[in-house]
Amino acid sequence: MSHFRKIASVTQKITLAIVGIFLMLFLLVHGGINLCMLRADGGEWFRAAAHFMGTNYLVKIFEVVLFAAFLVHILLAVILQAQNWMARPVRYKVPSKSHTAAGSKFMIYTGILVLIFLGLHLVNFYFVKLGWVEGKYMVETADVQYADPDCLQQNQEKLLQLFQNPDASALNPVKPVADNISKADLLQVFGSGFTHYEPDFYNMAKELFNNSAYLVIYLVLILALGIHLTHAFPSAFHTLGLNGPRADKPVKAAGALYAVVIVLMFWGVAIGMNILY
Amino acid sequence: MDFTLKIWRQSGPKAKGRFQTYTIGNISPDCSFLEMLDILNESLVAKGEEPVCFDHDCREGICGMCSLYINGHPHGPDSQVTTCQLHMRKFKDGDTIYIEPWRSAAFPVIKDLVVDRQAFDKIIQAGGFISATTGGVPDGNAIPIRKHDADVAMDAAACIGCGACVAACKNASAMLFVSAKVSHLAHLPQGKIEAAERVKRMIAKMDELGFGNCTNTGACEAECPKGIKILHIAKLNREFIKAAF
Repeated sequence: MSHFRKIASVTQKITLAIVGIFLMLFLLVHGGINLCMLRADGGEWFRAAAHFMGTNYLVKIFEVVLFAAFLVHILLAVILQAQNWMARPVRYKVPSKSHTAAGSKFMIYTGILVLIFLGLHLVNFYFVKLGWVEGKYMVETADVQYADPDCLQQNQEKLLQLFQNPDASALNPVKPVADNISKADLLQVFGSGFTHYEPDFYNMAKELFNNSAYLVIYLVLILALGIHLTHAFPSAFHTLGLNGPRADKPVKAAGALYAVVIVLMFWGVAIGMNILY
Repeated sequence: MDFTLKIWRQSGPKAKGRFQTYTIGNISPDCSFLEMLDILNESLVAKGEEPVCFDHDCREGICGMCSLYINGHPHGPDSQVTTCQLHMRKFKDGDTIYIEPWRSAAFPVIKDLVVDRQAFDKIIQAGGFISATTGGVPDGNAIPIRKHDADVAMDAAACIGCGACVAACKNASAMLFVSAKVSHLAHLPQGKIEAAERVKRMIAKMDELGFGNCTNTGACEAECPKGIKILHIAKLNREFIKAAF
């Protein structure tokens, strides 16, 4: 802790703010891609976007930057908060009644809720991609050639079932991919050496959003994120010295608008997936 | 007016403190808060008890000596006044009033409600000045200063260094105080010369003394008896970033 004290508190805060702004931009991109799920195309657009994000080299570099950003943001927030707690060893009997900016007093608590959400999110989706957690998978028609011929031969009927579209209302009635495949089916039909499959994030999200308990947790945690963002946005501007008498009100308004847009975007997809699909 | 007072009593810096309850009656609504404490102390002295220690000096709201955290507000519930300018008419008859000292690791309690605010002096000593050689009094208009800058500098200079910002802040941060000093001098041509060194030194000293970090909650601005705006903190951050180049 004393080592971090040598870095000026304002330098730590500026770093926290810059990283925070990067994370806020990331949220817009993530929310935008999520919105693709609402299109009545059986997840075609969402899959295309997810595929791009999962394979593009530039995005892969940003993936590393993103993880580093999360780590730096969390680490600095914890260090700064610990220093803040130490700065008042004896607390007041009467809690502060001072007027403060919306959400500003609970940043560490809303931050912890967002961290819990991040953990949940990683387990549900990212760890599936890494192969640490079992999920649902999809296989493209063109990639069937890489499967084990013996397994295909033995499970021909199941293979045809996988590639048939049960959803007649989808835009593309002949599915180019077989989706919603469990790990067991994947191994059985395509063989244990088959690697040309991708996680089926669309069906995994659809299943989770149709689970009422998960939906409620998701909505509450997104709301916590919204409260965090309400203060985060103007606070970051303030810390970077970008605020002034003329900018003050527009910055605060933009912060509130940004938080509302993010919450509505993620809530919209979650509730929409629950009701529509 | 009658009041029940719950006052923090602590016999010395290392002693264990506690709240003591006093009842006080027949107080005029026009009585100031400190006068009310004077009346209490007179009655305590008459009874042969130790009077309650509290800081005060000018009692005109300009010296920054009085403090007190009253019912969850530094300087009490009134806005933009120091405790000495707070009147008992701002309370309801029969109210219970909690009186606590400023709570901060950098402001240790000396006795009862008196805290050691030398930390602020140390921050000023670290850079809150202009090291110009003094000579004859120059003509007031010899150095032209933009009206807006003069106004902002004057607003920042209104800081009396009472420490209410630290007391109000959930992080016990001294950023409003430091920003008022930095902003005041950085807006004036005489202060601009050493602006970079000043901001770095004052922040380093502030960190070293154990104040918390600003999280831009705005509690300091809400409680400052002189109405110092937190926009000065944005100015401080700007000055700090500028100082890096």
